[in-house]
Amino acid sequence: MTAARCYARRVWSRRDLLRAAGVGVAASIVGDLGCRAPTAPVAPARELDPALRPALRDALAVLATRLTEPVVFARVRRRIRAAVDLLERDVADDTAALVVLAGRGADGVWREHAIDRVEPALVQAAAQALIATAPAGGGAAVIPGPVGDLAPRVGTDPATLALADWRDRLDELAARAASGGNSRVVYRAAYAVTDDETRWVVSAAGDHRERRVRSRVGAVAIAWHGSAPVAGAVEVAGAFGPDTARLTTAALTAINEEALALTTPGAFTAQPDATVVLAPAVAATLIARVGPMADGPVTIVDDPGELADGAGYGSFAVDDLGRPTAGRRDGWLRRDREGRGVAAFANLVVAPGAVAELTAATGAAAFLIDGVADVGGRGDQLALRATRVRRLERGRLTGHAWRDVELRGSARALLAATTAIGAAPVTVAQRDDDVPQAVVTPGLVSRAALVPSRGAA
Amino acid sequence: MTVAADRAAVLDALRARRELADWSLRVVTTQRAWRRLGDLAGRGTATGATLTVTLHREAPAGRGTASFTVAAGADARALLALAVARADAALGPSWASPAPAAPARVDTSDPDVAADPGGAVDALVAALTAADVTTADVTAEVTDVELVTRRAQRAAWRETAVTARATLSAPAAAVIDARARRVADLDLAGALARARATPAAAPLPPGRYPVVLTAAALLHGDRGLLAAFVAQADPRLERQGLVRYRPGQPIGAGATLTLTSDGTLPFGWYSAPLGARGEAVRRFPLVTRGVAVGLGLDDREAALRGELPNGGVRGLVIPPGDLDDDQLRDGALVIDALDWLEVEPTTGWFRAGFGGGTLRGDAIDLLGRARTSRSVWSTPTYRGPALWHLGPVAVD
Repeated sequence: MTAARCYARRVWSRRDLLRAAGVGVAASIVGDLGCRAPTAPVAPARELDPALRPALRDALAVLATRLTEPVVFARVRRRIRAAVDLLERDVADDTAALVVLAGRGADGVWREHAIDRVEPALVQAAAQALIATAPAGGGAAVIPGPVGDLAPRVGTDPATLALADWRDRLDELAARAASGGNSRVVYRAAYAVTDDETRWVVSAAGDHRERRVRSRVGAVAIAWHGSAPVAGAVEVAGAFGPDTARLTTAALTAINEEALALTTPGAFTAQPDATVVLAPAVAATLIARVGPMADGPVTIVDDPGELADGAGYGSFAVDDLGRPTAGRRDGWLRRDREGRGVAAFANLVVAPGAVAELTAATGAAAFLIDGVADVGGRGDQLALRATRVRRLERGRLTGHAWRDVELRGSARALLAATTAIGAAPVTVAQRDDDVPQAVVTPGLVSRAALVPSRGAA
Repeated sequence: MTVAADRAAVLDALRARRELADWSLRVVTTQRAWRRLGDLAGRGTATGATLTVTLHREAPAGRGTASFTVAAGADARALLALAVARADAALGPSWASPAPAAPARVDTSDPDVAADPGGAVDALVAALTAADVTTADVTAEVTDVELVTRRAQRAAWRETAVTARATLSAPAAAVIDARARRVADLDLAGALARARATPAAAPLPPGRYPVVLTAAALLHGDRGLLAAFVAQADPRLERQGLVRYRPGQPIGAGATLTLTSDGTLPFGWYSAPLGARGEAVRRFPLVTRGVAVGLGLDDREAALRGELPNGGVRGLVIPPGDLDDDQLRDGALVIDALDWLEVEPTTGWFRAGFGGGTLRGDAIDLLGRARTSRSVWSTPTYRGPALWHLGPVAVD
């Protein structure tokens, strides 16, 4: 059976089940569970460093012969992805390397060359190749700035864990996730994804090495309701190691209840201006679309610095051009998988409010938006398909719940209409394929239009 | 270690494991050139290589498969041992690898891009240099693919790709997003003209409207609404009963659609001489006059079904219709571009945003019964009618 599922490096049954249930995040992590042989990583960053760091400094000297503002960037990212579901348990261990050499030519054009290997000789060759394409002139002697090293403060260092340790952690997580379910839960998975990344940036500003560890720990349960799968899902993310204990047993139990909860027969009746309670994952979608915002009831700040309790999933101290982020609120550059510069936010942080129980702040009638199945719309205009919408009366759940409901409107207007902000912020990882990004937000109460996502009944 | 040294080490390790039922090694070497205007302006180049191995183990209980990527300088024998252990623990039904296929004869490389990717980028950037273009990002890529299998099959070919993304200051942040194998197919001038000509549409009152989609809107940059048919033709989904598509059965009431997959379209985005593991790439019918016919079959699925592999669904070819453009457009809501699109693969249900609102419906049903134009449209993923009249569609 495993081969049948794995042959095409994708698992239609599992992946489609997860996507159809509106848990695309889990699909991206456990979708090809068991399909890949573990890959032996290249040498860990700490072993590479003695040879790589001098090579990067030498490459900087080469670039400086013809380029101004030279900078040499290297990244070695180890990703350990441990997952277990009803059928399989899998630990994938992959390492990807990247070196980017850059600087400004005499013609004023910013020039870059990227390679996916870190052997010193190849780094040198790449530096020579870059200056060979730059016009003559330009450049000036440059001395790498002072050496600086930044090490993470994590409870569990992934570098200290053996394969068996990862398996044990996942088994324990899966056992806790199984509590509270019943035979109607047809699929269950738990996962932990940890990135152990070391970046070197050498420029006139400094010779900086920074190691970052960040993790996502989650679980999903799916029950079949008629012809549609329904999921309950939970995930914690942040600048910590594979601390599976951060996902509490209560949160794991709740996902079984979510998956098993029945929905109200019949189509949802459109609500052109409803009071809505947005769960943190839903609020995060709005906030990611809007970006930093200083005005209005919700203040959003892009903060790449260290956040309390490891909340800074996207944190970093020096950007990929070697510029410290301390004291700045924007203007940093990250490099994606191919080495291209990306001006992306790090952690969009919403200051928490004082409302401990948001549903109690909703008045007579309101709707609780649980999660995000798909995000449509363009620019500021959202057409967010929710995983589930539940009706509240006087701050209490009524038992009425619907799938296939779309929240529609301007993301900015939704945030501007916020009437209550929760007290407990949650880190929601937004992107983790190359440039890590997160939104740290509590739930919000606002007003929005809700319509049936499959059209009027 | 170089890529060549890694390749040699992997091949030596594979050939030493004579107990393997089958294996394939795919070496992909990429050179890339890019240029940006506006934010983060600059130019750059990149090189990279990926070595991917897929191996099969045959045991009395069945066949096991594992796949892995070789990191630079990695110990190939150690990797292989891990992969073999994984394959042994992943046994499925037995199947025999099909005989080596002759590579399809297909053009996948633009000689101009292959000779000078940086020059191709400069030429494309020149086409995007206009006062109303606020940002542009153009990339040209040359990829050399080599495939080696246990059955003494070796094939190598070159693929090129050019991509361009640009934003315009007006109409409101219009975006151009185009990709092709050759520069001539990118048609940036046409894309710019269409973006500039798009009027700001007022929202429509909710209701059902007779809708005509241009091919550009239908495809939405890739396969668009036709992606529903690609998912329906997945043999794994079909076997598990997770899709509506059943070979030999109509795809819907009143369906007349004929749809063919062609992996040999010249310079097609999904065209290739061979599949990822050396399986044949062939032209085959997906839907004929409204009846589901074929499935996309890789070597394993083909072997299990006793058929020949066809390389899966690739370029989509639809015969032109018999109506004039004016006949189709008359009285219809004509949509030239979609802002966004969501297609649920297993059911074919979709929602799509456009200037006047949101379309919702059943893509399989609507496309199956659509009336189409005599005029045709070609993209790197599509050859077919230029206009599709979907009939009444819900808009809100």
